[in-house]
Amino acid sequence: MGGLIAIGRLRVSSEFDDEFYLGLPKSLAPWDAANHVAQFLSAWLEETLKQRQFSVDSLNYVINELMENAIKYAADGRIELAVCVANDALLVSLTHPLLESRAKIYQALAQQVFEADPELLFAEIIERNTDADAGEQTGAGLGLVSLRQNYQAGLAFGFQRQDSSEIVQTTTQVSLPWQ
Amino acid sequence: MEANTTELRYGLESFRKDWRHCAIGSDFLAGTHCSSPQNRELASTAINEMLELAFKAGADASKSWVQTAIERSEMSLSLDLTIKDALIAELNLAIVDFQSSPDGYFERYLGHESPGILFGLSFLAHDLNAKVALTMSIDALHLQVLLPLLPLPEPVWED
Amino acid sequence: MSIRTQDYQAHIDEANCKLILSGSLRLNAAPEYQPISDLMDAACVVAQQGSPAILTLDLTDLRFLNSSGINLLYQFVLKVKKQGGLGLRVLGSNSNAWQPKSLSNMVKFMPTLELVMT
Repeated sequence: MGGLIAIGRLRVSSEFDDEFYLGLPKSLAPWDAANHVAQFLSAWLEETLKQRQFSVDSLNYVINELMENAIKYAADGRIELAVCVANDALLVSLTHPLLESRAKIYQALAQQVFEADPELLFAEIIERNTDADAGEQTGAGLGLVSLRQNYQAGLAFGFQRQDSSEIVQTTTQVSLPWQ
Repeated sequence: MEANTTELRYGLESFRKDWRHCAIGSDFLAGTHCSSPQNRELASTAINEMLELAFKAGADASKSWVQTAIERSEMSLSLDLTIKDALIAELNLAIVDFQSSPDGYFERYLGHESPGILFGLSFLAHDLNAKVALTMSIDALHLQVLLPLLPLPEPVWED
Repeated sequence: MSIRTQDYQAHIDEANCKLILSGSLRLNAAPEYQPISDLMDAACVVAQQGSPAILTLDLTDLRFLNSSGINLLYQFVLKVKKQGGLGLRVLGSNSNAWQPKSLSNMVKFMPTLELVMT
C-alpha cells in the first residue's frame, strides 16, 4: 500500500461548524473503554443531539461499535475519534493504526460492506458465523453492516501507509443523516 | 502529541451550552488515567476546576476551542489546557494577582461571596499541592497543572 | 436459572416459558456470551415441554445490545428454526432505540417468528 487509499468519500474537518476530538493511547483503552467512551460522548453531545432530534442511543451504538473494533484490532499507538456536526449529518470518524496484514483484511471487508446490499450481507455474515468457531466470527463486519442497514449510515474508509513501516493509519467514517 | 497523552479538543461554543460538560469531561478523563477511586476523584476534582475556568473564561466565538491534554506518570498527573480566544483582557488582573501569590489569592477569596475567577486553580495549589502555571499569548490562555497522586496500588485492567 | 451482573440480567420464567434479557449487554466477542447462549438453550428445553411449544424471548427491558449481541440473537433464531418443533415469540419495545431496526429483520430469518413491539 502507498499513499491514501479511500473507499467512499472521506469528509474533512474544514467542512464542519463544530467538531469534537478525542485522542487516546491504545494502552489506556481496556475492553470496557468502548462503553465508557460511547457513554461519555453521548452525554457530552446530548444537548446538541436533542436540538436535532437525533437519538443519543444511536450515537452510543455507533461509537461503541467503532471503539470495540479499534480496541480489538488496533496496533499500539493512538486511537483518535472525531465527531462533527455538519448541516446534513452527524459524522463520526475513528482513526487508528493497523498492522499491514490486518489492514489488508479490513480493506477487503470495507470494500465489501461499502458495495454490498446491506440486508443480503447481514444475512450472509450471520450464516457464516453460525458455521464458524467463536474465535473466527466476523464481529467487525456485522457491526459495520448494521450501521448501513439499521441506521442508514453512509460509510467511508481511508488507508494511509506510514513511511517505511508496516503500519497503516486506518480511518472509518460514519455519516449519520439527520432525520 | 505525546504517545501517552489523552487529548480532548472541542468547540468552546458548544462546550459552554451546558455546565454539565465540566463534570462529564472531568469524570471521563480522570477515569481514563486513574483506576483507584481515590485518585480518580482527586484527578476529576482538578480537571473539573480547569474545565470550569474554560467555561467562564472563554469568549462566545464560533471558532474558539479548548484543548485538554493529560499524561500520567507513576505518581502525578500532568494536565494541560489551552483556551483559544480566552477573555484575556478580563483575566489579566486576576492572572497577575494569582501569579504573585497563589496562596495569598486562595486565602483572600476563601469564604468570599464572589471568589475570584482563578479561585479554583488556587485551591488546586493550596489544598491539593498541585503546581499551577498560567501563561498567555495574544489570543489564548494556557494552563498547566502538575497534580501529585496518592501512592495507592492501581487495579490492573483485565481484558 | 439466571445470570445477574452489574450491567444486565438474564433469567428463565419457567411457568411462562419465557427468557427475559434486560439491562445493557455489550460483552466482548462470542466466547463471553456463552453463559447466555447456554441459558437460551436451557430456555428452549423448558419451552419444548409446553403446549403449544413456544418460547417467548422478552427483550422489552434490554436497553442496549452491541453487534456481538445482535449476532448472538440472530444465531439463536437460526438455531431454533433449524431444529424445528419450537415456536418463537419475541417481545420488544419501541422505546429502546436499537430494537425497531434490529429486531424487525428477525421475521425474515424465521418467517413463523412472532414479533410483538410495544
